[in-house]
Amino acid sequence: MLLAMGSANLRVLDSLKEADGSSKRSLWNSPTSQSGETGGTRRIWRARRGQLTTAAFDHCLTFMPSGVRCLGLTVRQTRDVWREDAKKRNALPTVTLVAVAGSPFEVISPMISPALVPFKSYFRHAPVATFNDPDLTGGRSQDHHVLIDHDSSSFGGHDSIEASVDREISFDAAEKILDQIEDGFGDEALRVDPDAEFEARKNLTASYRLNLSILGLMSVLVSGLLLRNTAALQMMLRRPVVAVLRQTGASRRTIMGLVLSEQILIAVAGCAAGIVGGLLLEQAISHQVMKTVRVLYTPDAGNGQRSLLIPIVGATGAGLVVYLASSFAMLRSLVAVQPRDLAAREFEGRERQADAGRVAKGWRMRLAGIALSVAILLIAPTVPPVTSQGNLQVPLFGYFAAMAIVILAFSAASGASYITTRLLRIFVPEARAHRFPALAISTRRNLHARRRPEAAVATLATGLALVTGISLMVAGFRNSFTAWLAQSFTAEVVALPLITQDGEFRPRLDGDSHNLLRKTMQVDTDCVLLDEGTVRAPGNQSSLKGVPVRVAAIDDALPPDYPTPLETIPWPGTRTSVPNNEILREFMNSEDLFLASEALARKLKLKTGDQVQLGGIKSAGTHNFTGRIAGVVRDYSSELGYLFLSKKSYETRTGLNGCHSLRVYTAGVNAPAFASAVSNRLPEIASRLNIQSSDDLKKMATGTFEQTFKVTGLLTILAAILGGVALIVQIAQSSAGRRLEWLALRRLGSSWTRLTQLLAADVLISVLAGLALGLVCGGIMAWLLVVVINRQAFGWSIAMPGISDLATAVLFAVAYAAALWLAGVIMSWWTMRPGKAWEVLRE
Amino acid sequence: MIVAKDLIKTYGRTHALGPVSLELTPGAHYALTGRSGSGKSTLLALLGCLDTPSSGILEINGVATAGLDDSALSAVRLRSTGFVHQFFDLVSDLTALENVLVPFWLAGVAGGEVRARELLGRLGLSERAHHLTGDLSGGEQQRVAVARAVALRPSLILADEPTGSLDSRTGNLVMDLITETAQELGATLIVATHSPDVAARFAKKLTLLDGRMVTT
Repeated sequence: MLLAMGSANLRVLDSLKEADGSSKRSLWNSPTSQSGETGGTRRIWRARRGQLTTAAFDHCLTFMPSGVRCLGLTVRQTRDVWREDAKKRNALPTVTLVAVAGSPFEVISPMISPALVPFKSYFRHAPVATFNDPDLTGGRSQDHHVLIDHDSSSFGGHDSIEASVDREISFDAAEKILDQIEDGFGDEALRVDPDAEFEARKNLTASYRLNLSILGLMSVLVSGLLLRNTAALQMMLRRPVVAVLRQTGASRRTIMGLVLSEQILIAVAGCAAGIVGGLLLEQAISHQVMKTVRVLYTPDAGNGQRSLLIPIVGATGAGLVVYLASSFAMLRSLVAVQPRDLAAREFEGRERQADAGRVAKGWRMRLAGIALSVAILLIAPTVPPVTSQGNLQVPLFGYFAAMAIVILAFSAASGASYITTRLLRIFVPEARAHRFPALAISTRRNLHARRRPEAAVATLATGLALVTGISLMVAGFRNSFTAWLAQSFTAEVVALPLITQDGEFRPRLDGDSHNLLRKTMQVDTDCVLLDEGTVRAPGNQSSLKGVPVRVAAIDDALPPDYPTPLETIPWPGTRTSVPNNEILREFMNSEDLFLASEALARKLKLKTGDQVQLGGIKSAGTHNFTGRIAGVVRDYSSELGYLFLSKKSYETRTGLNGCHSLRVYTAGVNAPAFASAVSNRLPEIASRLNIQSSDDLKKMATGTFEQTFKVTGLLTILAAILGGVALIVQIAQSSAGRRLEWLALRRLGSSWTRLTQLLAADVLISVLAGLALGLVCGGIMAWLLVVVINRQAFGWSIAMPGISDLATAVLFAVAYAAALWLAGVIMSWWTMRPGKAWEVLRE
Repeated sequence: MIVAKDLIKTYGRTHALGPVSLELTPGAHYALTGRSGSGKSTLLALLGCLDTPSSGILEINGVATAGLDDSALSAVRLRSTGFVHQFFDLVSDLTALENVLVPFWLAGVAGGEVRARELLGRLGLSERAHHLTGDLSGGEQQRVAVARAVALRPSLILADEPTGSLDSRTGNLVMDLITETAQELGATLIVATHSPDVAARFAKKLTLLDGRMVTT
C-alpha cells in the first residue's frame, strides 16, 4: 500500500509538473504587419480525450494550398526521443515534438532548439540542424523543441494542432477556412484559447500538487502506522511462546535473536509480495487518476517509461525500518518483563483501585502533545510562507501544522476514548446493564483498562481528519468558486474577440468596433483589456514593487439592474462604511486608483490606501504610473492575481483601446439570440467575436473544477482505506491480546453470539471515539487548509464550508466509520475465532 | 439431577475420555481424582457444557444437551452450572464486583448487585469489591471466582483444581467456601483435584483411570 500510494502520487505529481512545464500556447509567431482587416488568424485544438489523430493533422494539411500552415504539438517523455543506451538519461530534458509540414521552415528531420545541442549525440535520430526558438515561438515558450517532418515521423497523434492562415488572406476568408478545418475534426476536437488554458492549467495543477503532497505525506504516516500495528500484533501473538522460552531459561538476547530473525524473514517475504502487489495496485490507481490528468492537462501524461527504482527502494526501505523497529521495540518490552509476569495475563503487577485507571499512563506526554499541537496550529496563520526559487509561496509551517494534527490525534486519542466510554456508560447503569450486557461489560472494561484502544482511535481519527479536512476544503472552495463565478458572470453573454491586432499576441476588439457594438445593440458591456506580458512584446511587462504583474483594465459599466462584477473584500485599510458599488464607481472614474486581486495583495502585502508605482505602462510616453490601492477584490482566476485599473487610465497611458474580452448585459436576451441579432445588424463585428453564453462558460469552469478534485477525492478515499486497514489491524491486535478474557467469558456462559456482541461493543467504542476525534481533527484540517495552506500558497481566501457541507462530511464519516466498525468486528472475530486456538488455550 | 450415559470424547485420533456413565445425586459433593491425563478436566468440561461429547448422552436437570445449539448450551452453562477454574478465569480489567455481576448481565437478570455484594461480603471481599481482579492476590481472585460461579444459584458446581494455584492455607479457605456455598444452595458439587487433602474432604469420590471411571 505504501509503495502503491507513494508511487501513484509521485507519478501524478511528475505528470503535473510536466504539464506545468509544457506550454501549450501558440507557437506561431504572430504576423507583424497587418490591420484588423487582414488575416493572420490562427486556431488551436486539442482532443477532448487523449490525442488528436494523425488523420486530423492530415486533414489540416489538405488546406495547405489554401494558405494554411499546420503544426502538430506533442510533449514527449525522454525515452521516446532519446537513444536507449543514452548514459545520461536521467539528466535529459523533456522536449516538445513539433510535427511540421508545409511550414515556413524548410525542415528535413529533425531540427532542434540550440539548448538541445549538448544532448545531440543522445537523440534516437541525429538532428540535422538547429533552429532559432524565437522564430518559432516568439520567445513565449521556454520549452525545448524538436521539429520533425510529419510525413517522415511515426506520430501516434498530437496533443494539439495549431493552424494559421496566411496573412494575405482576408479575415473572413481565413475564418471560413478555419471553420472548415474545425468541421473536419468532428466532435473530438476542442478549440482552446491557448493563454487561458495555460493559465487555468497552471492554477489547477498548483492546487492539485499541493493537495497531493499533503495526501502523500499523510499516506506515508498512515502506512507507517499500519506496519507498526502489524508488528505489534505479531509480537502479541508470540507472547505465549516468549513466555515459555523465558521460563525455560532462554536469555533475552537469545529470544531477541530468534524472534527478530523470524521477523526479518517475514519482512523480506512481505517486501517481495509488497513490491509485486504494490506495483499492481499502483497501476490500477494510476490508471484511474491519470485518465483525469490526461483529459485536463497533458494527453500523454504518464505514458512514458519511468524508473521505479526510487519508489521501490524508498517504500521497501521505509517499510522495513518501521516494521523492524516496531518489532524490536515491542519485543524489547516483552522480554523486559519477568518470566512469571509474562505468563500472567497482565505484564504489570502494581496494585491499584479501579478508578486509578481513569487517567491512563503517560498522560503528561499526551498533554504535552496536545499543547504542542495546539500551539503550532494557533501560530500557523501568523508564520509567513517560504518563497521558493520559482517565486512560489510554500506554506512550510502549514505543513508542520498538518503534522501537528496527527500528533494531536494521537495525544488526544486516550482522552477521546475515555470520554466516549463515559458517555456510553451513561446508557448502561447497573440497573440497565442486564439489558445491554455487551455494552455494559465493554464500557466498564474500557474505563478500567490500563491500555485503552488509543492507537486504533488515533489511526481512525487521522484517516478521517484527512478525508474530512480535504472534502470540507473542497466544498468550501466549490462554494466560493461558484459564488465568484456567479458574481463575475451576471451578464448573460460573454464575447471573446478572435482577431489579433498590429503585432499583438492576444485577439482584441478595437475601440471603435466596441463602441459601435454597444451603441447599435444598446447594451452595456464590461470591457476588459489585459496585459499579462502577452499583449505586447515579451520583456515589456508591467511590474509592481519590482515583481511582474498582470494588469486588467476595466471600463465603467455598472448596469443598474445587475450586481457588480467585482466584489471588494474586507482588507486592512478598507473603509468598511463604503458600499462595494461606490468603491467600484469611484475606481472606474478615477485615473489613479487601483484594485488589487486578493492573491496579488497578499503576495505583495498591499493594503488599501497604499500608494504604489506601476512600472511598464508608459508606452504612450508617460512616466511610471503612480496610484493608490482603492480596494482588494475576490478573484479566483489566477493565483498570481491581477492589478485592476480603469480602462480610461489604461487607454490614456498605453494607447490601447477596445477589449480583450467583453461581458455583455443583454437585459435577458440569451446568447444565441444576441449572436443572431449582432450577425444581422453588425455582421462584420459578429464575425470577429466568439459569442458565448455566460452559463455555458460557468458550467465549463465548474466542470473543470469538479474534474480536478475528482482525482483528489479518489486519492483521499484510497488514503482513507489505507487508514482503515491500519485501524482493523490495530483492532485485531487488541482482540488477540485479550484472548484469555474471551475464553473466561466463554467458559462463564457467553455464547458465540454474545461474544460477537462484546466484540461489536468494543469496536464500537474505538470507532465512535475515532469518529468524534476524527471529525474534530478534520474540522481543524479544513480550517488549516482554508485559512493557512491555501491562503498562503495561492493567496486567495476560501469560505469555510456551510452547514450542508458539514452534514455531508459527517454523513460520509459516519458511513466510513460504520464500514470500519463492521470490518473491525469481522477481523476481531477472525482473531478470536473458535478452533484449534481455543483448544490450546483450554488445555 | 445430572445423568451421563456412555460419554466419550476424542480429539482426532486421541481418545480422551470414556465411555463414562454417571448419575449424580442432587446436592451431593464429589471429589474427582485421577492421574494427569486421566480425563478429569475433559469430564468436567463435558459436564459443564464447555465442550460437547463425541458420543453419549448428557442430561442436566432433565435437559438432554445433545442437539442443543451454541446459545442453548451457553445458557445451560450460564444458569445451571458454576465453574471454578485453577487459574480463576476472571476478567482482569473488571473489578471484583463487576466480575460477579457479569453472570447476571449475561443472563439478563436485573438487580444482581445486592446479591453480588452479599456474596463478596460473605467471602470477605467487601473491601476489595472495587479493585481490579488483576490486582488481587491468588486467594482473593479465587474467592471472586467462587462468588461468580455461584452468583446465579446453579444446581451444579464444578471446580477444576481450585486450590492448584494457592498455598495450603488459602486453599483450605477456598475449599471451605466452595463446599459451604454449595451446601447452602443445595447444589451438586464436583471438585477435580490431585490433592489427597482436598479429596479427603469428600465422602463420595469419582476416580478416573485412562479415561474410564473406576470408582463411583
